[in-house]
Amino acid sequence: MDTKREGDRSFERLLRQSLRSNAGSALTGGCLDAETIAAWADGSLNQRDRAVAEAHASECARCQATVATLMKMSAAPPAPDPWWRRRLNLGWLVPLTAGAIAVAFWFALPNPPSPGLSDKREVQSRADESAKRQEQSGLARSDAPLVQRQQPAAPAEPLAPRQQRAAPAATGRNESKEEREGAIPTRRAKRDERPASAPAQLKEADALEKAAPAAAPTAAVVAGNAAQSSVGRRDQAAALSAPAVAPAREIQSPDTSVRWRFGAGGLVQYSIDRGATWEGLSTDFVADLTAGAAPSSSVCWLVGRAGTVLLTTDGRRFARLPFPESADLAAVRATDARTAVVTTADGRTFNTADGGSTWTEAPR
Amino acid sequence: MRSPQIDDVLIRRLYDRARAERWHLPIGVLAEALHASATRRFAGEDPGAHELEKYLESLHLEDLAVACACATGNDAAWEHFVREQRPLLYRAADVLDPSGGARELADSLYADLYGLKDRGGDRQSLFGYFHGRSSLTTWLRSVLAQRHIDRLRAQRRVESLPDDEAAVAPATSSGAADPDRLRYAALVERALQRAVSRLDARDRLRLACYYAQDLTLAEVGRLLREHEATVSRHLARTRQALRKDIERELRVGEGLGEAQVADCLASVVEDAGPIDLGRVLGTGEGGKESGRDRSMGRGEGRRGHQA
Repeated sequence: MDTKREGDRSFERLLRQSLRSNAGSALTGGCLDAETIAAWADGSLNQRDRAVAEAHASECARCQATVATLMKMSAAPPAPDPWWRRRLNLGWLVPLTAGAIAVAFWFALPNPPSPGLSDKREVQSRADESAKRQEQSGLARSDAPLVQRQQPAAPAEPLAPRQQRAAPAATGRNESKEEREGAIPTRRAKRDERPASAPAQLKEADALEKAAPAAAPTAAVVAGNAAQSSVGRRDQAAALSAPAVAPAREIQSPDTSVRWRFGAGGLVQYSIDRGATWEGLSTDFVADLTAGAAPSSSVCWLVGRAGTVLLTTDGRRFARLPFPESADLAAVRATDARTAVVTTADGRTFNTADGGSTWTEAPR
Repeated sequence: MRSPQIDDVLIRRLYDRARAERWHLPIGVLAEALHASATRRFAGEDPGAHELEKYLESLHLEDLAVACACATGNDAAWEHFVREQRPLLYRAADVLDPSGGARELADSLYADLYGLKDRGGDRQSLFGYFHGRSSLTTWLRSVLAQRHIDRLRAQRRVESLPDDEAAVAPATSSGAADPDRLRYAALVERALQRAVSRLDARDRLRLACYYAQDLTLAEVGRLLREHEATVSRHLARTRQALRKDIERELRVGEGLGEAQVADCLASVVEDAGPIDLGRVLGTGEGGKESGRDRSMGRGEGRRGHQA
């Protein structure tokens, strides 16, 4: 086995030397032009053209080297930050500050009038009854006490106490008692399963974010359909209260299978299978992204720091749009690829009706 | 060459999608660029209206509009282009030469893009070669890569003479020490060339990208639209096929016995020096590691690419 492997490596060595040298000598003429090579690297050549390009490059040293160089360039890591940014990199303060604010809110907010005591009793009594029925019917055969068997439901929602404090104001008591008590494992899982209407989803997203502004480490799912104004308000509120960029946020188009995820450092990802798999999109922008709106399955607006406004009309390729201000942007509402309203972190709003070519500041 | 006819309504729609109005680009200029792009794509063909529309819709229209506006000397477009593209181009140049030497090449691109060469009053801008088939960023990188490769090749031609002399000497001394090695090397070289030429173009390209151009499995995969593991599997299969082909060639074509074939391959794979194809590029030792070792991407010891 080792001999065979060694033989294979030796043969690799031979290939390396001979192919490298051949690569320097062969030049077939009629080379691929720069744009064809670029389109090949971009993946936008059709099958026939790609086959032609591959056939040529397999014999042409110059084109082979050009394509290889281009691939290496495309895989290049982003340029390092300048020294002053590295030195002043205080990104770690963001979660710390958010955590401190959350704790401050925890202590500052008055205790709600025992939002769940009666509910708790109700759930407990229901559970007791259910367990008794099970025992009577002989289904519950475990020797463990009833309380222990019920325990898994409680720790499944670690945020429950905090949500109990904030939920009444935030949700307008839209949630069921079981949800507030944590009897239903996670609100997020429920939201994903339930084909809820967009406003309902938005209310839940609002509640989730307001209840745990800093503790939501994963993406907040936002329904990006006709109710874009709600998205804007939610984004605006979130960004105004905590301008720190969340680790990653997610928006979904009206066709819920298409989603985008965005976050710090120009991170943009794209999913067409309801978030099961994500494709990283190269935007070539490094600004932190704070909010987004997806009025259709191919159109997505993203905004971020320093007047960053990105737009895609095909789902994948984002272009940066000119914006009159370099202010941090907190929210965006959009109805299509041409019409959008962007809100800055200091509360001003700018409208465009021509796809971002021109912006008009709305009077306060 | 007959130019495909593009409907005016379609041109207007593409003009809007390209957001060319922000550069005050006359619609005729974009229409001309679209015609040029379609003519180039469908050279000698007569595409149907649907096919033509599909092609035009697939273009990077916004980039094309910026390129057209820059080519016509629109200051705002040029400013936008420089602001967006210069950092990316410098980053690409730094990949070619981390010491910053390739930035000069990137800077020289701007002159050509701006179109300093006046011929009969017309400004000949490099943007004229951009037809929107790729993104502007990738196109610029491609142009930069092409110029870099051309410069390297030109340098090699100038510097090749001393290397040739240096390379011949050890081969000769090696051959003098073992006359069989020279014969074996020639046989294997011939058999290898035949075997490689018989490969499918895609297999040949995969092999060349990996072994000659120093791409990682992931990079080869991205180029050929294959998964990294698929690239690795194909490479292994191609190596096996090549080896079998060479052995058969040596047995049947050259009339060697089993033992001689084994000796022949053993002597050559141990030291491929006598084949001496390396003198063309002067590539030294310490080339590719095994495929398994390089599947994770580029490490610190990344070597410069071979042109």
